[in-house]
Amino acid sequence: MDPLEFKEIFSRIEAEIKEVIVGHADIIRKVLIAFFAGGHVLLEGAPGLGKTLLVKSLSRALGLSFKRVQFTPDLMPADIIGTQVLSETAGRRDFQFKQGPIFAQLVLADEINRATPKTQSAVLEAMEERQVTAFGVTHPMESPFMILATQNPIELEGTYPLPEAQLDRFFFKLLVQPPTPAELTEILHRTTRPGQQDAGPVLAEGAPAVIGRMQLLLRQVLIAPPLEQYVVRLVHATQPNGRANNAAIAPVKNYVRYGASPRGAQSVILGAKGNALVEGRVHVSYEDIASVVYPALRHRVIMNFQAEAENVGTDAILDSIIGSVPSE
Amino acid sequence: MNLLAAPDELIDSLRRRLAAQALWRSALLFIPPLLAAWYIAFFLYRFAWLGPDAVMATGAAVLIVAAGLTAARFYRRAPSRLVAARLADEKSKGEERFVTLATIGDAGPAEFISRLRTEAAAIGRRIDFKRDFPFRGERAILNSLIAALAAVIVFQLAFEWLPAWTPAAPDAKLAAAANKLAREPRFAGLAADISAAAQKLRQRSLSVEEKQAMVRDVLNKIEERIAAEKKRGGDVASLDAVAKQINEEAKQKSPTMSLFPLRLPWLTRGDRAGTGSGEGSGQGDGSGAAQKLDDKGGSGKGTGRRPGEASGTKTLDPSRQTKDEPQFAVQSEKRLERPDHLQQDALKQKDGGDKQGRKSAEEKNDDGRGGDMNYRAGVKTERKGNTEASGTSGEKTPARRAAPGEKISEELKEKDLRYVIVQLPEVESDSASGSREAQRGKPRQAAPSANVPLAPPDDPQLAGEKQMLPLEYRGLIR
Repeated sequence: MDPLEFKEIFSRIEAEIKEVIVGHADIIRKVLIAFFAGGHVLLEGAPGLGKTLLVKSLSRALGLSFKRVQFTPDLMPADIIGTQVLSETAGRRDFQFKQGPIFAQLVLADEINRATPKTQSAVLEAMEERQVTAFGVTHPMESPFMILATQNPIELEGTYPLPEAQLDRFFFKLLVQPPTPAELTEILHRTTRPGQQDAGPVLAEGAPAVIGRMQLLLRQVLIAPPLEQYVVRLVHATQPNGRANNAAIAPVKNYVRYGASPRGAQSVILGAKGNALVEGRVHVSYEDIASVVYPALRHRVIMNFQAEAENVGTDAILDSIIGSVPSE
Repeated sequence: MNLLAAPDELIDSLRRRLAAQALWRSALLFIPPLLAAWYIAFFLYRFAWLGPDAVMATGAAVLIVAAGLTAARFYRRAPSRLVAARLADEKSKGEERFVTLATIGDAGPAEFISRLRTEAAAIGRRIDFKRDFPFRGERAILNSLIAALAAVIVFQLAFEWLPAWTPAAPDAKLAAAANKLAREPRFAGLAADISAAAQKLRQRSLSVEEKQAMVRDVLNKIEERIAAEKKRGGDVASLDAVAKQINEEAKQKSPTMSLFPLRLPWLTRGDRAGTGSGEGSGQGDGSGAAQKLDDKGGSGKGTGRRPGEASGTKTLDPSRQTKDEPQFAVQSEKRLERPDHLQQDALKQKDGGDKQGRKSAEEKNDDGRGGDMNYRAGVKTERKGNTEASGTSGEKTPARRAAPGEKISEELKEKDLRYVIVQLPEVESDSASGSREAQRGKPRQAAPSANVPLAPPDDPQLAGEKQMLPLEYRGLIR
């Protein structure tokens, strides 16, 4: 795989999705970057903003299998992972494992915060290990595998906020913003007329292999040690009580309960590499890092009660950190 | 191939350029203080505060310190390859291509690195070193320059305005040597010669060569005298000391005199230095208490210094004169405000009565004969001494003193004979002197042999003798 080829395929997929999704160009790009980096994405936004449509379009464009799971309070882990059913074959009855919806290449976990923590945690192993263990048997996931979860920020009743451990497994957390008036007009034009357009397949045949090569290429992108150190400093600056962080900035000390984990740094660097390739470069720049710091770290910085009371968000904390950590 | 190597070369050449600029900035920061220090050292050398060796050592030390500081600052601020690459990226908008190339080495796919080099080479052509990286001074350099100039100016002003810092003039040293020799009567003639040479050295009209010749002349005379004394078996220690002192002076001053004859402080200040004799005050009080008060005077032995001697020693040195003048004034005031018991002592001695006072005066005296003589002189000339202290501080040092019984020529009367050494007549000596001779009951001179001032008219033995007195004192004594 060549960097130019990567960029060309990426651009085609991006364009195909944009044919269906109006606006959200940055969301589309970040989702694709996370996909080629091998990560999962948490989309947070109000209902009706096109989250489900985005995932569907992505699956179609990539030519991958797609399953959707609507998370509800009574959803059980077995409903996601699968269960054993008694089946009779040639007069002999035995239990067979029936795969749940998680056994797809693209899984949409819609409104994931409506399910109970027990059910939410059912997807943990699948997200990190790319395998599922049921009834003592481990079942590997098909590659590529990506979970796109959505959650609604405005409904608090009957929701179960995702545990930190699970949040940390998401590569990016993307905030889906309402469309601008121009975008809304375009949405109306496309959806209120006959003959709605669906995304067409860009990687129809041999998609997993191509995607595999693209994922490998992304990891080969060059990153200079000073830039790696910058990422390390950024992630370390999110720690309010780090051992070598006596000079933590005031907002972090005041509002942060836990800082970002090493997975956060990994996400930043892989996301920056993906962004560099998309921009046609084979090396990471500071701009690449800056473009992925927020989606990579915002769900990994756990705020304390004071921050919630004062309505201080993680993006504000990240603003302070980026402003105070020198790039050199 | 050249194209691929170009970005690395660009980074290296940029680093060298930035390093050279950093070195210049460091050097420029320390050059002004270095020059200022050299100037001050050379200035001190010119005015003979430092010898050639000291100047060389100081200059070398300052140079080494400046070089060390420059090197230390340079190594702290010398740009690394990474800094050069960052600057190249910044100027060419290279999006960290140069930084990546400078730091990543071979860690990465070869085709990626090759491509990165190609891109960096293309971008690097935008960089123009002269335009993008011109030499820029620092504020600190300007501050350093200002500070160095200020230091030089302050030093210069201080040197000009504070004569106390200036070295003693050679003429003053010669005069001091003459005074030292004059204490021994056998060297009175030589002392007069040296004193005369010192007077002449103050003349601006003389060239440096003439002054050097005069110094050599004096040296020759001293050496001849030393030889003569050695033949005779006499003590030449004082002569040797004086010769050594003048020799050193000649050695030290000669390069300066030849280089900067007009700016030498002793040439420019010699005339105004004056030879005031203010230290004569109270020397003749004759009491031990009086000695205590006069101890600060310094050069005289024992209690009583002869007025002329003391004044010569003190006032020919312009630097000391400046420092000591206030002290003289204080001493004069002290003498005027002496405690009552001291005043009483003096009064008693003036009346020729108090033997205790005489004893104490004798005990305080290191120089028995001189002390005795001066004590007696003090009895007679107490008022005179006090007046001298306040009134004659600017007068010239006597070239020599009249020997006992010596006839004084008219010429000397007009020119040099300014002070007198007074010896009391026998009668007063017996009553007032605390000398050992008097205590032992040895026979004394019937009449003073010299310098007896205004002998009492009823003393038939002394009636024929006359003593030259300064005109201003004549009325007082009468």
